[in-house]
Amino acid sequence: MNILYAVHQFFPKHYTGTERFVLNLSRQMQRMGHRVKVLTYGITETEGFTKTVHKFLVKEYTYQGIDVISIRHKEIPSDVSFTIFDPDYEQVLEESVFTEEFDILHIAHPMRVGQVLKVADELGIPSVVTLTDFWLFCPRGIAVTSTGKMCSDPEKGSKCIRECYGYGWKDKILKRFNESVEFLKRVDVVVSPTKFLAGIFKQVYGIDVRVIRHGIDYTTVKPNRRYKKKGDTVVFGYIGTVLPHKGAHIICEALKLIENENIRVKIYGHYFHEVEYYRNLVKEAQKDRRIELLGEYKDEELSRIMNEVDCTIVPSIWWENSPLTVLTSLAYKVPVITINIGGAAELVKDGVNGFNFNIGDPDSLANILERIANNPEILNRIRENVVRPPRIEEEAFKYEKIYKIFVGEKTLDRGVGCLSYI
Amino acid sequence: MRDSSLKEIYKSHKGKISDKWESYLDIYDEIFRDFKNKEINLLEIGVQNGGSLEIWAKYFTKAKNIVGCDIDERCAQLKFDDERIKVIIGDATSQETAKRIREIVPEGFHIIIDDGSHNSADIIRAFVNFFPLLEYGGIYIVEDLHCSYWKNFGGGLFEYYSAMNFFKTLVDLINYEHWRLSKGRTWLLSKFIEKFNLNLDGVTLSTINSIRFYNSLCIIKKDYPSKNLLGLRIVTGEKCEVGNEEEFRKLDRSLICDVPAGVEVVEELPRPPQELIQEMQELKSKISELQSLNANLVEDLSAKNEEIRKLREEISAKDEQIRKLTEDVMRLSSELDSIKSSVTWRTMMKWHSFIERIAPLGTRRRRWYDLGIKGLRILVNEGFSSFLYKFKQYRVLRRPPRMEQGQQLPISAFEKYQPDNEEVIDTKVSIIIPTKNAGDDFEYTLEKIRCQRGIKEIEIIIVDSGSTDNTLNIAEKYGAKIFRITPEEFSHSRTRNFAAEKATGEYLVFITQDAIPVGEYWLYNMIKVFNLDNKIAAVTCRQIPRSDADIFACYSLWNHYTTLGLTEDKILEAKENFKRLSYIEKRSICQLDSVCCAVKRQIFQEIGGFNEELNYAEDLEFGKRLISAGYKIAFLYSNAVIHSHNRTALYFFKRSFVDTSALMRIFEENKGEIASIPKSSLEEFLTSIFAIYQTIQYYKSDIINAFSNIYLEDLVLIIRKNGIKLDSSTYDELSELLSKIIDRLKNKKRIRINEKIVDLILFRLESQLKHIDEYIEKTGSTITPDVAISCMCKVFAVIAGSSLACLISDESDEDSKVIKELLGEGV
Repeated sequence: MNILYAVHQFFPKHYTGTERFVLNLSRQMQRMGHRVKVLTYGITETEGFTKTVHKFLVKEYTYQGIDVISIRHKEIPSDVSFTIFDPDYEQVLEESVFTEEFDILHIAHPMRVGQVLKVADELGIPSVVTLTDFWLFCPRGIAVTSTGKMCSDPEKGSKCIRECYGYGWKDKILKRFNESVEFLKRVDVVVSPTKFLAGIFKQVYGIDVRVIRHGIDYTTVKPNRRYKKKGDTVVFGYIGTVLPHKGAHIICEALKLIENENIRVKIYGHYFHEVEYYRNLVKEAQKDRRIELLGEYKDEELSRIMNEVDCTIVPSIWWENSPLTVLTSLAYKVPVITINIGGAAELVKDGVNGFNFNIGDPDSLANILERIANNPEILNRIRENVVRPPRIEEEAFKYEKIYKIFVGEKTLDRGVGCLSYI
Repeated sequence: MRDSSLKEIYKSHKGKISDKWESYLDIYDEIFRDFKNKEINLLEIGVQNGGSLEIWAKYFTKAKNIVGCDIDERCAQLKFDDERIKVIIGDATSQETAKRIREIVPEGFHIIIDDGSHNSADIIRAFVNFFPLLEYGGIYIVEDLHCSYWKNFGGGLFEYYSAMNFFKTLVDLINYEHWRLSKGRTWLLSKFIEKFNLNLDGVTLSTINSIRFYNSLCIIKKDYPSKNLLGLRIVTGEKCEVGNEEEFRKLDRSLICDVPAGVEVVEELPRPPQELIQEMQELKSKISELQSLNANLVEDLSAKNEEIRKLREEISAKDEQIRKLTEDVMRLSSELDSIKSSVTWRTMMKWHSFIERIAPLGTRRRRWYDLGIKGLRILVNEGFSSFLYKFKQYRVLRRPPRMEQGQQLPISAFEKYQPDNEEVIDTKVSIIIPTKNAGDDFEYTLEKIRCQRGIKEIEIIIVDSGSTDNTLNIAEKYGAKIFRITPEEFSHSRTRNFAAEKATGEYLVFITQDAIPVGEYWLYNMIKVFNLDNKIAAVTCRQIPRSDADIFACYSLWNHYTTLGLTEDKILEAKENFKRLSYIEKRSICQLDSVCCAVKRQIFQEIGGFNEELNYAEDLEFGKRLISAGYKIAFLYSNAVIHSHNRTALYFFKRSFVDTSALMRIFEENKGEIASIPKSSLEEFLTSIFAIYQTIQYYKSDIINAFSNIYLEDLVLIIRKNGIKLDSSTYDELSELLSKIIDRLKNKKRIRINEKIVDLILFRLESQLKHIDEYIEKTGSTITPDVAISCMCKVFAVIAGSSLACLISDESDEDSKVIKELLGEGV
């Protein structure tokens, strides 16, 4: 099969969860004998473009053995990350991407590349989309209103106008919502990595969404085997980007409420543009010797870091979809303390493979931290309970099974009706 | 009495219609005079109504044969009173027609008249066809040559390929002896020969004696070649008043070749005018293209010049700007100095130090102060709505989110994504895993088994042959039934049979310790298939490569399934006589893979389990027995385990040896299809493969240098081109094993390299690498030179191993036994 992946941004400049999902999936598909190409939008790229088509610049490169085609506007419009379909994009796609024949289009994030679906649809190429956040119905992506309320239904855009954008945006918002409906109508299969996100989309759009969990690359994973005894110091880890909505400050606030000295918190991660937020965090850390701010880490260091902590904390203040940190921790058999709602709560069950606390509530988190600090041995039982998330090979195989529905491959299970049991 | 002239006979003719031009009749009267009262044979191409044939018969009263030839079949119906007239139906341009005519008149013709289609190509072809049938002294007449000036007859005044031009060219052939070129006669006609595909030779052309042209007529006389020469120079008379008499006398009886003359060197024929015209037109159009390109370039150049001019202007504008800005800086510095000394500034400074004191940096008070100033600025500069929006944005990142009153998380919707009314198969499945130091992923395999859904009861049976790591602790944790055996007791078949005896499930599922099931319905999907057909005795599934698999491992799996035609779900059975099938067909339908397969326990026992005499390919042999017994095997490409290994060349050598030996035993009747090798002694074979392997090592650096721009397949070329070179400095583990085997051979004679074996192995290596190239091309993969070398070594090892198996699998001498023992270790 010849598969085209589309994603709003990609390696080497962008390397968060969705980009990693595309890289892992495309590399595994290649190992399984398929030809793959990644289409992306060079939002921060300024160099290496070799071709100009209409209003666009095009460049091609190879990343870890994967062919990538990166396209961007010569002058990036201000609404590029808001718009779903951009008809201007059509010509460049036809002339630079669809000169090759593809059997399937898989969109990992439609932002800035949504038009590819229309072009593929008109060429009769089947398509799959994986939902990685709420962007299709929430231009802000995180489904939290500007008044701070969690939003699980945009009410066909009217709630966005009312609570986030104001009436000046009415036409744009309504048009965008209709485009999101059209997008989901045109796509052949919609997949979500969590039941939570699938449920929200089912509720908003009334569509069927399959669930395929994100896979983890276990190549360098060495399970954590730290055994805890009563009185041992417990090392908690915060591993990921240090941005306000990821809630690292909740940990600092929770620690203020605990006197136990058997606690260490190691905070790893980059703060990007949130300088002020990070500065405040540093100040908090300086006041509490139990907190260590260790800055950015490299991929190669992850195995060491995961083996230095007893438990990780994912204190996000929005409902995460399928947080990579949670999946990675579980892959290393490290119990996770996380919020009680959304995708994170779906992956971590209180008292089974980790603990849940009330979202945004330092008191609730402090309770859990204290409980563990007083009885570190409970982590041994929790660690034994951890069922590790799927591998990327498994994830890729399940997607391949979906692709194959469209290339007409014969499967015996279609006859016995267990195709849904992927 | 005077004989009637042709014109008189023609004009008074009452029989069949004929149609000739008046001038021809006078000319014919003159040239036919010598033939009139002779026993001649005449051939006319183009019969039409046959009038002219009747006229020729009347004119040539003593003629023996008057033959007409026409392509029009209606001419065959023409009846003639004179028996000498015969009509042949056929294409005058075909040699077959000429052959038929020669059969009727074997002695040849004295007169041949071409009054056929008048198309230039036909005229030329007919001439080439029939001129050889002409008797020496005979004449060949071509009528109506005016058509050769007309385009619709393939002619034209300047048409090179017209019949007229052809005959004009023949004129030069009469004077061939004066050309003084090292070219044959046919050279002059080579463009005609090429264009009309003519069968012309120099001998035929040398028989052209004379050519006469009249209006629309060409008359070619044929005669003996000797009569067509200029002959001797004859000097006669006695008085010489002008010139030197002696010089004249010398010339008497001389030949043309005695006359000194310069030799011209001509290598090519002048080209036909129309070709030149066409080329000229093409050149003209190229010139006009270049002219327009030139015009564009001139335009571009002037645009660039304009651009340069503008840039220069911009530079001077920028210079001006810099100058002004420098002035501004100076002015502002002086203003700043005056501000700093002003009262307002000093007051502001005091205010700031006051704020520093009451709300130092980092305090909550200071944060509120800064926030207030920031808000005030937004309010003043951007207006109230922007202030409100930014305020909301700020709050959302700082305040914990909250649920709306009565807001429900769509949890209830989640449950729908569990399969509705999930079916649970009411059966017990025994999963059998032979283990020994099972590795890091063993626990993951057991976790996956524990997560399986849709099967009522699962038991895990572990048969361990001496683990020294925590394999057994892990197995115990997952509730497996553990049986221990010694490492010496282990064999792939015996161990699995032993575990099957201990199993209590209705189905036995054999998997290896490093195979990871995919998904939660892996087991359900396999067991469910048994319900499709009660003849299905076993189900086996696909292996997919691990995420750390190297390119050779990925290729091997891809190659395995594509070669066996197993790239979709299939129910495998022997539809016709199993014995008659080819090796590949058998291999494909017996596909049972002990890396992951499920078997009905009852049938497993009935068939007798795995063959304990075999230690390799026992799964395939079991599959063969199932198929031979009339059972079916389901192969699921849509269900998988993750399983692959990045092995070394040494492993592949051994593995290929043991596998091929086993396969030759299992599919004995198809032995020849599995592997073949030219007859040679064992030491010769081993020396040859050792030499090839060391040559690969020798050229490693060359290959690495060459690799960037060639295919894998071409790497073999480097060896072919430079020959075998034994590198004794680089010994890897495979080199060591090969040299160890050669050293241990008892039966050593004279050791030499067998060229045939080297050639065959290199050929196989080349075709296998070509296949890998196809895989790389298909998947768009990229490989580094190191990986290329490693692929080459592994492919070599596979080929060498299977060839060695082919050579000694049936042998039981001491050397073969030693090799079998050495290669059976560690696979």
